[in-house]
Amino acid sequence: MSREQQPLQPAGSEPIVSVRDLTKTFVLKRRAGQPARLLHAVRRVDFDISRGETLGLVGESGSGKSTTGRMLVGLIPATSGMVRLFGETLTGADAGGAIARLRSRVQFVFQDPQSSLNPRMRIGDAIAEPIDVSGTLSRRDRQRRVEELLDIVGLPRSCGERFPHEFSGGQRQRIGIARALALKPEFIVCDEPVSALDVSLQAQVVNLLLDLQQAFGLSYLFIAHDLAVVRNISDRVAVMYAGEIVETAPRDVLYAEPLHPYTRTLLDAVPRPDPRRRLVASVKGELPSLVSPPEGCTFAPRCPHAMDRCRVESPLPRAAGPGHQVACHLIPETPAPIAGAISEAIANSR
Amino acid sequence: MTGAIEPILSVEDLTVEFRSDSGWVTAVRHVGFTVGPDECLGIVGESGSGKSVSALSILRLHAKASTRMTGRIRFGGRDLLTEPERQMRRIRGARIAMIFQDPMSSLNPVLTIADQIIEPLRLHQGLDQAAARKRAIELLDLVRIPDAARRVDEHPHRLSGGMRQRVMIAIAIACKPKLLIADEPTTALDVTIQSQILQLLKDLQAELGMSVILITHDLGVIAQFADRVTVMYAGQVIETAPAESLFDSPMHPYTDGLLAAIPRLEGPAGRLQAIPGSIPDPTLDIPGCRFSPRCPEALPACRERPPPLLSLDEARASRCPPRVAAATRTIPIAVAGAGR
Repeated sequence: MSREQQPLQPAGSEPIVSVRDLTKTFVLKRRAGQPARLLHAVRRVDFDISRGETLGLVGESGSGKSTTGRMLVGLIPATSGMVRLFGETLTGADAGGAIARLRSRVQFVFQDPQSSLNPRMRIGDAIAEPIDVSGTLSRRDRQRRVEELLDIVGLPRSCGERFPHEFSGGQRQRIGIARALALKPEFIVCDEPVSALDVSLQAQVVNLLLDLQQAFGLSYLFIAHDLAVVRNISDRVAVMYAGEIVETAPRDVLYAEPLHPYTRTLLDAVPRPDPRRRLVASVKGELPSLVSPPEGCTFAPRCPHAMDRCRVESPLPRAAGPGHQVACHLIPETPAPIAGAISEAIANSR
Repeated sequence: MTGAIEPILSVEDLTVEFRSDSGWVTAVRHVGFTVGPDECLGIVGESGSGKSVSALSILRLHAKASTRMTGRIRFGGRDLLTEPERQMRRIRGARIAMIFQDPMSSLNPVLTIADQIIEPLRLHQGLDQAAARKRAIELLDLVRIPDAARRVDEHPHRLSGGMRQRVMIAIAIACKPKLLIADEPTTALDVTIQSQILQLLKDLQAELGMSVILITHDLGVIAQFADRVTVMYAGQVIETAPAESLFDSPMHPYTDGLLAAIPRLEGPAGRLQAIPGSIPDPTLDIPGCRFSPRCPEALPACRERPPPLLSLDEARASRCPPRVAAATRTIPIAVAGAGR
């Protein structure tokens, strides 16, 4: 079975987003007298997102999660691989045309609402900017739509006349979301939308995103480094490390039965708000160089279970259960085994 | 407040105001807390709570011309708020050290790691160049930087964020301070690196026998590290408690709200419990309790008079009179020195 045909979402639902073999390589500034160096930001990433679904993309800095999100909406071009949204191919010859046709259906919410809003533009105009660019509404309908959008994100209608600096971080993120909703999109890439917010406001914005999804049948790619936030918003979760997806699973499976040693490490490292459960030993080392990534599995240098094979052969994703893929040599390749047995095997090898 | 043991630092009735275009703004209001020997006090709060402003006041790091500070900061038999600047310079970096959130902006990019660790050693301990360099390498070893003898001559940009924070810690502990103030030390770091740095701080605290003030917005980090916790909101201390009691039975509705809002890795997933509204503007004078506009339990009295910080027992205090009254079933006593 070729990678292209592998179903990566629960059966029965047509994916609106398909990503195959997506790769991004940046060419670094050449140093005098040396050959150009390549930074492998994203390597051979595969996933699908169905209508109304949220895929959480989680990883630490340098994992390639934001680069993946940006390629998905055409903010940066892919080096190779395929991105298909609503049947349009973003990575083909007609990428420009595809992006233009998708503009109203696909939107992006940035991490820092402070730097993504023009400080000299009134909030109402900022929210209406996508409408103005698309030129689809009359002046009166435009005003009505702005008020409607402010209602939707829970801001007073009078906000439209004010400027970004008059708002708190949480309110600015609501403005960013209102702007993303202006053209009634079907799919939104949210790149760390709550990372800059305090915990009480973070909860408000997560709830708002959940409510909007319910109300408008939105699909999300939710990119974040915080595993706990991702758990509360996602249907499925993909874990990235050093440019690759190492594990994808339905939400409850991933958090209850993580199989990849990196996923386990990441979950163990999250400080629990419970003084009786203090951290035990933590993983050693840091992210490998993306310019000269290690041969074999990229996590092998830090992995407590690494075998000789892991240091020479890069593991391909293999099925570990329904909708559950793991790129790890510890997982038997065929046939798809019972998740519990693998867990046990890993626990015993500790 | 560890029984009869004398605290090494005691902040009493601290108020900090900053000059702004529209007059003086009160950032911290009558704040009080103590730190015992070998103890870790966690100060937790959201942005604008005044936690960092309070910590910077201990070392008097605010710009003099635009800051007004009142109250007392007792340390080593002195009041740091009235010490002459000359004396403060002997305390900073030697007896009280500080590390910050962003190690890149605290390290000098044009100096090597060695230069930056050697500076406090020569200044405070009078070591000569060779001895200071030798000590610098020992310190890098102590903060678990591999290959310290080589790393010491590198510039900060060559190091990862985690390694830079280790260097900052090496500089901070160079003169064996009695107190380390760590202001969001792991906020800029990835979670696997954060757990390494927290473990390192914990090991060093035991090895060197120092007290730590850990300032963070992250209740997870607080739970992992702090012995006692002070919760701040809108410039005030609203609750102080031993860590386990705080997480088991918070005594202020704001603490309840913070704990409930944390997204969890276990239990039911989905909608989170948010605290409605947002943190009040510091310029705003709120007649009653500063949390009352957002409080689900606010009584009419809460909106009328500002509540004092009330003592529950030796180790616990809360600024919520209805809660304290219900818990103690007696007339609560205001904490001495905590102001109104």
